[in-house]
Amino acid sequence: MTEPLETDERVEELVVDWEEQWIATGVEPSIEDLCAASPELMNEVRQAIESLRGTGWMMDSSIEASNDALSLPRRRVPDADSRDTDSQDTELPASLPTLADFVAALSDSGLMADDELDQERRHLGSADARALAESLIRQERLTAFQVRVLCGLKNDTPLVLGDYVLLDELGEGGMGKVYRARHRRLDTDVALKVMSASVLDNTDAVQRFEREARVAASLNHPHIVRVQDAREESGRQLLVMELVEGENLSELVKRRGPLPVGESIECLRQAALGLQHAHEQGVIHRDIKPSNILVDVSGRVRILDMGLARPQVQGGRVGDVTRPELTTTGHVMGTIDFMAPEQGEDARSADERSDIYSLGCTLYYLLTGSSVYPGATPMQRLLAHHKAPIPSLRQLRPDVPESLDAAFQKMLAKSPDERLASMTELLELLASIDTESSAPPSPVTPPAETHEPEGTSVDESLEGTVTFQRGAGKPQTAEAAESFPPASTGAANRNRWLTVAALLLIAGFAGLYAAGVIFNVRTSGGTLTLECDPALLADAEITIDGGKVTLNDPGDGKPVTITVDKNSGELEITRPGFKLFAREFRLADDDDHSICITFERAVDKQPTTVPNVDRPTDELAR
Amino acid sequence: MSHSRSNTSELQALLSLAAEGDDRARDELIARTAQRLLSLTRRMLRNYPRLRRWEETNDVFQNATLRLYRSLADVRPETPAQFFGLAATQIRRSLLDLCRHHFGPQGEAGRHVSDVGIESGDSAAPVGRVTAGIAATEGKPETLECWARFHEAVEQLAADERGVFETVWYGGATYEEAAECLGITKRTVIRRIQRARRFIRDALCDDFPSTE
Repeated sequence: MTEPLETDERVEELVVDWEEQWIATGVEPSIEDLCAASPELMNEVRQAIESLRGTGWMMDSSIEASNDALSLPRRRVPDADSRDTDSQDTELPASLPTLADFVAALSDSGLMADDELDQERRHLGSADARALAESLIRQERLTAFQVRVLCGLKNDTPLVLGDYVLLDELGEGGMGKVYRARHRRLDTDVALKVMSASVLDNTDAVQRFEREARVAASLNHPHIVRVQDAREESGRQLLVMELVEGENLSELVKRRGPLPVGESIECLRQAALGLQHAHEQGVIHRDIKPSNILVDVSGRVRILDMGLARPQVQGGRVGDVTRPELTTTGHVMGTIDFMAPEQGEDARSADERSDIYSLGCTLYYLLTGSSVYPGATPMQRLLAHHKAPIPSLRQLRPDVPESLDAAFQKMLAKSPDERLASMTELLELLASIDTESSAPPSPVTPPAETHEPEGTSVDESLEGTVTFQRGAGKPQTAEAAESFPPASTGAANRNRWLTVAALLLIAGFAGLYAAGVIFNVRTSGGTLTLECDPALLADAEITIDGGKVTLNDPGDGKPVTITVDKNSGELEITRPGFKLFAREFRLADDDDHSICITFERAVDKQPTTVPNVDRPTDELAR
Repeated sequence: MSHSRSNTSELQALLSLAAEGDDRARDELIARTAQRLLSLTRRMLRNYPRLRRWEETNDVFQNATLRLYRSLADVRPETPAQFFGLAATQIRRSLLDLCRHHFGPQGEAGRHVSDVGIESGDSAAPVGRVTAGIAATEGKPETLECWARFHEAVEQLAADERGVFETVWYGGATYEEAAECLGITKRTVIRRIQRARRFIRDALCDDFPSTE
């Protein structure tokens, strides 16, 4: 015989009934109905239900909704991804304040003396704020960035900090922003890292900032971006860095595609020299990755962002800046795609071999354009660094010398003990590759070298999408106007070469003939010819973007990317899961309608023969 | 730890494969656990935009994942219930570490107990009745300190209630899945969950009594 339930148990069962019915019907049952058989319990049941309602958040199923927290990559400095584009630089706010407000803000900013401002206003007559701003920008007395700040759109940092005038924002890091700034008296431009006001009350963050300054200042090497000064101005911590005009390796590969072997080796060698110096000073970088390695306009490779660098606990000459406890358990620093396995487990365990691993990952990126372990999730990538086999460079790039692949394997060994022990050892290996390789190290191509070759016409409208239309006979260009706005400001002019550099690999557009549709793309390394069967024209879409030509495979519509390796004179043809190197190849649909692609190097004496449609040299397997 | 109805049997299959040494199965188990950890971490950090900026969030995630990886490598759960229990423990410890790291004496969050909503610019920040650190309108922890107490309260639950709560809250299982996984009825799941919710609520209110 079942014992009668106590009151508390009866109430509990009724509340379980309440939830069970609600789940089953989707309608909340009334307490009256619930307690129809036990009306004396109604008040207690009501109280119990109300109490339970207050814990509803525990069952909240909406926690999957947000995708904005952990998956957000932190923007690093000065990372290309965080740079404003020229179009953003030149853009003024749609709505400006009144002239009086704008003048008042300008006067308060300290950017211009009042008499200069009065003179300009008299000159312009009854101009409004926009006319005044545009006039000052044309005269390079203000930048568009400064105008935006004056208009209150970016007002968290004063435009004048001591001797430095902020000209433009270059990027944002974990603890602050980096600006292009000009020293008023010396009239030199610098990269100015300004600690965010919001973290000034954070002792740990301030310590990290100061530590970064001292560590970075202790390093003086041609392959490391130099820190010139660290100071406090107007209550803000400033780090004054050498302003290096250039392009980081991430940008470079995105623009040009995978680099030639020789150039990759040279990038690696120069970066290793810089890191060798840092290691000799007892400093580990801990965040080596393509976006932290810059190629300046002379082709010199420079290591950026010592923000995570820390002195080794033992040895070194940086003495009192050693604060290993700043990296606490549970706080791993670095970037997953380039981070050594031991660094992922405990940031404090990082040593020079961790930088070697990261540099190896960087080499892989330079040669392939992708990360070593491109998993779909951070966790997959992280685990792959711990246990996935080290890929072979030569499988993806047959032109990689065996000795370089062997060095790569040693750089990426899972255990630090099995890895190359030092940058010196790496440099010795790279030197030996120099003597035995068929692809010896070649100078790193600086961005400036991609300026327009003599005699080549530059059609800036090429940046964008070219869509063939049946019978049209001419390409339709899209997005071109937005891609290259007029460079009307001083700041924009200073940055303009970057845009031009991104453009000029694809330098010209020679011809399109409706009958057979031959499409020539002149690049600085040669001419890419696409011959498209007219039957495919209705659907063919060719995109030229940052040194890559992308077209849809007529067979299955999948994207095929073509980049030119100037040194080897070959095309690199990539589609999902497949990569091919060839001078000419053909894509065809089931009806054998085809697109033939050939590449003629600029130095070739003989013109490249238009490929035989029936007997292609290479054909992409599907 | 997905939410599909076939989850339990799928989970059992993965566990069997992992027990036979199939690394891919083990990776899949870890991936599911890590995904849940990611979701729960987001939930805790939702009110800390500044903290999220300071925090190397990916790094927290990867560190916790490694911990899961190691634990699941050392201990081979044989049943979904064992797996949920182990994963929940690891998730809870990771979240607790995260809380303690940030609300400790030097932690950024320590300065934000009273200004949640103001810092985030969240106009829907709780007003009215105040239980320090707990949103007045929903009883939901709004500070990392309170979240830490939440996880600690879970540890103090009676074994039956804790098993169900871990499976549902840390594991993301539905009531049906939890019932199947633990070999109990759905009604029992509801009953134990309700008890757990009341216990946790009382624990939070005891630690952070109303200031009224």
